[in-house]
Amino acid sequence: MPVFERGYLELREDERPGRPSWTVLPQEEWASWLRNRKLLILWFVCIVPHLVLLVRTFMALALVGLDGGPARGRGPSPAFLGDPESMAFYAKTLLEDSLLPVLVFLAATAIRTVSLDRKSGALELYFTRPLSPWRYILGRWTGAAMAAASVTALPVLLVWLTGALAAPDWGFLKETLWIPGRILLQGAFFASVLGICAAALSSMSSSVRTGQILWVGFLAVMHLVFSGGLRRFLHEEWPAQFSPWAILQRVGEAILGVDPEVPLSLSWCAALSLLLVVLSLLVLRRNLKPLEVVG
Amino acid sequence: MSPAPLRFERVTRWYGPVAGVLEVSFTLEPGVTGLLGPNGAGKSTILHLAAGLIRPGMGRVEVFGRPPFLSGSARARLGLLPETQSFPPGVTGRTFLRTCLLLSGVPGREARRRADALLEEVGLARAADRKAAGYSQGMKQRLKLAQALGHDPDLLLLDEPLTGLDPLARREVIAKVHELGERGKAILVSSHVLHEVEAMTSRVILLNQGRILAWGEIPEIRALLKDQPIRVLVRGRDSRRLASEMARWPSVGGFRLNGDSLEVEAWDGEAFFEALGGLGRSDWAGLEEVRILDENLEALFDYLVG
Repeated sequence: MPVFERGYLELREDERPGRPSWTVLPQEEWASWLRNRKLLILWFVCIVPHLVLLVRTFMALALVGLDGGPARGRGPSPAFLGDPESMAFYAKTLLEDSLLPVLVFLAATAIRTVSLDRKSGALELYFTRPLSPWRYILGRWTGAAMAAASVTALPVLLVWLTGALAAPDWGFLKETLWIPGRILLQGAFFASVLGICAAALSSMSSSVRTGQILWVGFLAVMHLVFSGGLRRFLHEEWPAQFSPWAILQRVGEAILGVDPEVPLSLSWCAALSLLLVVLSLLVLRRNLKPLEVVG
Repeated sequence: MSPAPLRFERVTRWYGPVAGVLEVSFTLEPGVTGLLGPNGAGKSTILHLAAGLIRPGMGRVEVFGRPPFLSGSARARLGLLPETQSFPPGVTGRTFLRTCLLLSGVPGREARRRADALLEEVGLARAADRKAAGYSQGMKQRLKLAQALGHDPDLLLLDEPLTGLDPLARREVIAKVHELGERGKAILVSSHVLHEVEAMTSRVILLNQGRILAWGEIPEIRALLKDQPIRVLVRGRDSRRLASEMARWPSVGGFRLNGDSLEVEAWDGEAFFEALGGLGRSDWAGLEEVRILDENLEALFDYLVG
């Protein structure tokens, strides 16, 4: 089959390239994930807590009613089902039940991105384009954050939306209209911090397996550091569950506007989250360019 | 005066204690130039420096007057065909090409149209929606070529461009490289297969152990090698008489009779060819063929690298 059947394709003067589009990176990443059947199955497993929340929403609406009145007939108590009109109903799934799923899902997605780009030589091709390393980072960060958001905030938003549609009247929507904005904000915060950490660890090796081991190691070390070394600076009565997750949880609670269950200083937790993001960005930038070659 | 497509000025790059390239200086003009050297000579390092993937330890690399490591506008004008054969898993040929075009700054709709046209151009239209990682070696090479040419760059860096291609495709790519060179594109072709480079260009940069051994047109470089006699094949009516005649010439160092032809070693090419011209005018010689045997890349490389 001929290679240049119709001659060379020259760009016209009005077609000369402009600024490179970094948004293609998360798009391409998502397109490849959606084609991966195993990953889709994993995603469904990871959103099990949200499916449970969805069932609780339906049951609360159907059995208990929005006015908190008595359940019709025998069934689960209103205390168990919760109140879909309060933020606390969504907060537990967002802040606690999503912990393991999001870490597992990131290990299967975001941890792979930069290392696979490096291994496949795509990184080499991307950086011969006018794309700057920071724009590349932005692209991969967005992809990783979207992966994290897809198993935390987005399904919760869908639960809320389903509740709004399934509610008997517009009262539900009026009462809860403020909830999706906060969920989105909290989701963006979680996904950004976790996404950039995952992308930074992914840049440390061209082997996906090594990246995944680093991810587990990172979480373990962070837990030890936070729960040991930093405890004296933050709070006197130190909780046993103090971990990077607890820090994110504390900020998340503040964003969602629910009563804090994690007794940590909010400003310290926000500062530590920011520090984590900055450190991750620096690690990513350092590992990206120059690409080392020998030949 | 517009800046040169590619300029290296006393460029040195170390990898720990190993020198990738040492004090390399050259200027690439529009047209095709071959980059030749054995494995580990520094070819990939030069291409990676030119593509802006690595920063020179010392010296200066410029693409159209700007350092490619720092300048996006310099990189926008170059296209690299890398040696690596793998593609991101799960990405189709069409997606890969579109991604590369978008990252080069080609606008969205145009990138989609152009990706389709390029895939058709390199004969991959039918395989466009298959995963690129599953392509054959030849198909991968075609796809890489398409991404290197896609944004119509003015400087092309081709690392072993003919690897994996069938003979017909090789001929077409060689012809295309010629054509692009004639259009005024600056093309640097790296290879260790000498006859492939020779088929594309007579202008070469010869590398060994990170240093430039020679740079220029092959005949010019050959002429500079005064310590190596020129090997010339001479075929005439009477080869034995020709040999006895030439034995008296001071420019001739020796000769070997091969059937009806004579292989002459001439130390002073200019004097030898002047004398041979005089001989050609005599009736008895009947010169049928005169051909320089070592004015080719392989001989040149042998002399220089050893």
